[in-house]
Amino acid sequence: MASALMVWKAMTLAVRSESPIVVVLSESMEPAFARGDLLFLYEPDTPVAVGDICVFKIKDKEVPIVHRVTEARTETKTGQQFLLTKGDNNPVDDRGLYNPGQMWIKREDVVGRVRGMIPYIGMITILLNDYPQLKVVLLMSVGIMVLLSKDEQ
Amino acid sequence: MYNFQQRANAVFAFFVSVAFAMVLLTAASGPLLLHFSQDIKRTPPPAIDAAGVNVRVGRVGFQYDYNNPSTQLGWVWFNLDADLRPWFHWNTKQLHVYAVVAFETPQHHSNEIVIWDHIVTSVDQARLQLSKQKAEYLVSDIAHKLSGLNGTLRLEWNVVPWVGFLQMERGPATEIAFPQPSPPSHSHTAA
Repeated sequence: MASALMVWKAMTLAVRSESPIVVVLSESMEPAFARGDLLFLYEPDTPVAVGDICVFKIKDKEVPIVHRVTEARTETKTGQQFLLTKGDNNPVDDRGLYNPGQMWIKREDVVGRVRGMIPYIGMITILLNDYPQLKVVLLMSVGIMVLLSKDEQ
Repeated sequence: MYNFQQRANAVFAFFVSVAFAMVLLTAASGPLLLHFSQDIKRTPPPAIDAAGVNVRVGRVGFQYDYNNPSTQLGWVWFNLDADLRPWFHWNTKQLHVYAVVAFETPQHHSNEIVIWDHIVTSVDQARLQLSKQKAEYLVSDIAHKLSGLNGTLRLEWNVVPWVGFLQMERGPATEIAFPQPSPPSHSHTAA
């Protein structure tokens, strides 16, 4: 467990994003990403460009969103970026998902940009989240195995 | 000494290792195949040019922000001739193809707006020829003025793999100019 945490923290530093791996939870990016796909993120210093698939957070909303940037404007004076996003599978842009009256997301809302993906693997966490009883079953089966297994050294 | 459980565990561990090795090799193959592809070098880059640009006054995003004032909106029609077939290899799930308008204003030195996008999921559909295609999305500026701006129009595409790395590619840019606003076709206000 400790080594898993260390790997996670090392990855966080390496790709400079607070969560280097995310699991896709919705169908809004179909057919590029499906529910259960595992996405690998990175977060360079370069400005966000249109076409980048960004993971971003809306203030006071818990679940981050993975959508494609369709408008990117960079302010000359401050370097601040104003971004508009849209899910590939959604008919309209994301302004309806932002906070009321919010027209843009900004550079600091972006947690990371998608660099690569592996399909299906994230299904495990989705199943564990959707059916919490599975966690109990999993823990119990591990416990029973430990109890039943004999040390045959 | 070796009971069923230990054997099953060893087989499963080996399966996982082999599966991940295969995933890594497959992921690495995508960028390599594109990098060494002779077909891509032989194929001419996509040609895109503005067939028509129209500027009108309207409101953008008023459903979400009632205070957002009227702004100049740009409608764009464009011609496209792009052969993206060589970008398909065994690890290409789809190409996300999109046309981008870019321009500079004093307040914002970089403005990039996707005006049209298209998903290509098979190599048979990767030959794109469009004439006077109307853009799906409108062009606007935060400072509300478009007329007189000169910008560029280009095609970009994102190679999405079955497993592995996403790659961003872009074609050459052509000029686009935003004219003076045309009068509204049906006016509700007294002239």
